[in-house]
Amino acid sequence: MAKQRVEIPVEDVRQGVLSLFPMAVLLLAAVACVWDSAFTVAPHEKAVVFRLGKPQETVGPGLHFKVPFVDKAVIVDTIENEWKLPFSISPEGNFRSSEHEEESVMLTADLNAAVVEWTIQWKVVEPEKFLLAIDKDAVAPVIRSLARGVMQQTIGDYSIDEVLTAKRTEVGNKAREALQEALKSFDSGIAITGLQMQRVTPPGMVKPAFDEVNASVQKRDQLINEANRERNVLIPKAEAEKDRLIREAEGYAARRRAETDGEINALIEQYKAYKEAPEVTKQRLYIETLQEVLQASGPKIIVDSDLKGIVPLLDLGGAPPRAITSTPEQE
Amino acid sequence: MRTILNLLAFAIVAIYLVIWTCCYVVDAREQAVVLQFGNPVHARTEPGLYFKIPFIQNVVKVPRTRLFWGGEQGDLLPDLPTKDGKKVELTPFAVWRITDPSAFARVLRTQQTAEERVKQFTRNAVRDIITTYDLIELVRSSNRTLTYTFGTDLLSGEAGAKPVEMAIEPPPEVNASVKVGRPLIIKRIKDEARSRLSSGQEESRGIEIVDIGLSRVDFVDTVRRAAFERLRKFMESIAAYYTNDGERKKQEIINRTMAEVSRIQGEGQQRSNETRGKVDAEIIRKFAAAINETGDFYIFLRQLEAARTALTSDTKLVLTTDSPLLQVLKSVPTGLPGGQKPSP
Repeated sequence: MAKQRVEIPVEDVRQGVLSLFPMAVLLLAAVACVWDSAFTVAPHEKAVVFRLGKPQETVGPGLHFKVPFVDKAVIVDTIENEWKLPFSISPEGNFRSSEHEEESVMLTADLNAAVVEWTIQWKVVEPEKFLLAIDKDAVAPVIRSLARGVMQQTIGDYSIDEVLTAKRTEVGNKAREALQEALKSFDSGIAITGLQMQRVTPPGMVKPAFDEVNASVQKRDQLINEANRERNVLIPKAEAEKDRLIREAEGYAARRRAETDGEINALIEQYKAYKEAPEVTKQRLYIETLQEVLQASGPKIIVDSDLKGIVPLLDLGGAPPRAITSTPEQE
Repeated sequence: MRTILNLLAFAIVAIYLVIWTCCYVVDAREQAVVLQFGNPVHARTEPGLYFKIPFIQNVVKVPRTRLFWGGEQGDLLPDLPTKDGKKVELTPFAVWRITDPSAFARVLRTQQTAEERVKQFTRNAVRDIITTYDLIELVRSSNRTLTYTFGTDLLSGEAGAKPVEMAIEPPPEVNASVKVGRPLIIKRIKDEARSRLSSGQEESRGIEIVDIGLSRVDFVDTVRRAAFERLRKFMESIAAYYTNDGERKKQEIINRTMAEVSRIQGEGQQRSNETRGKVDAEIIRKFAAAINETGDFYIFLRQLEAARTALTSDTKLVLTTDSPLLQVLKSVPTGLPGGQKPSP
């Protein structure tokens, strides 16, 4: 009973498959036609439509229709890419950070070397040109190699000092222009939207010496400041001293003037009084003075004016007192 | 109904098979070469729809876009001597394209062999050209004047800091003049590689080098070490210069200050002396006037004053009774009002 039941469906299935085959083909063709007649473009993308291999038009984001099988839409990402250079990019497109400083070392115009790192931003601005210019696998290495070559060339025209300090921005701008120019020569449809110099340092071996330069510049400023501080102390001090000298002199002048005026006025007054009885006053003053003088002076020897020749007998000068004092010692 | 459906399905399958075997589309990004029993018979360099004889001809597509070789660590050219004997290592790269797919299919066949060829020609051209130039020519592009401020303007905020003068001896390369320069050398390498690639055999290789570049130029390891050492010394000398310059500037400021201090004090002394001198002169003049007025009286007073101060307690006097004061010791003075001048 089971065998009988099996035989009948086999016939049915064969019949069914034969009749279904054209249906399936038609259905498949219809689905493929519908499927291949529309495509969507994301907001950060653009699409280039190729009709029988010839670029037809470039369309922006949204849902678009095309002739199935004849048209082909190629989606191009127009997002802005940022790359850290000069590090290589691994085949997966990830950044491979380099432990080897040598990769970022570049020769400067004075044949010194600097470690240079920079970033670029680029994006596709003309998708059609972009697709036709560079093989899609070659895009990344072309941009990277050009960027490195251009940076090396730019750095090669600046001194180590300029690269490290003052001319960083100038170098960046020049490199960006040159890179844009190089990509333009390939008609690549790529725009370099930005280039920034990142870490630019002397090679590790030289770094301490470079830091020393910075330190020495600051040290110099510090020394100059010290000197200026000292100057700011000394100059006011000198000014004060000058003022003191002048004021003292003025004080002296005032005092002397007053004293002298007093003295002179006294003299004039005395003279007026003296003139009233000059001879008598003169005698009086003279005797008074002599009295004072004799009172104040030391030992006196008074000799009668009639005695002659006594003077030689007198022991004059400082010798006698010394002789007297030394006598007891000698005895 | 069923028959129509069957016919339609058959037609679709048939058309598909015909298209699949007899037609091909060449994209604008690629070009094709039609091989008949392995021999190239047509080259299709323009995009479009093309036909071929099924089973006898087959189509090989190659890129029409630019291709790339090099630029990686592995493509490095080590130990290359320049004309002035400096050892350098270079990483070249080349952008190339297939210009003639037929020739390409005949001579090189695959992209790998083509790339290998590009690599060889590029490396040889680089090697041959580089060794005929000095290193400086390869590094510099122009003769712009290099400056050395060492960021003094940035670091100290000192406006318009002058470049470091002769105190620092810049490396001898600084003022070397470049006759050719890097862009031109690279152009010569490119021209050389292009012309070599397109000649040397009867048949074209079907490829061309679009561009050649150097993604890296560096000293070889030992030379690099020496260069770093030199740079270190250079920077140390600059540091020493700044330190000494600082000391010198400090000393200069102090010296100038001291001079100024002396000048200020001198001025003070001068004004002081002038003031004192003026008042002294005034006093002399006033006394002279007073003495002229008072005549001998002043002199007399001064004489008395002098006697009073000159004869002190340690003065020993020998007097005679001729002295007016002591006349009384001998006799009654004769006439008091004597015109006799006092004699000390």
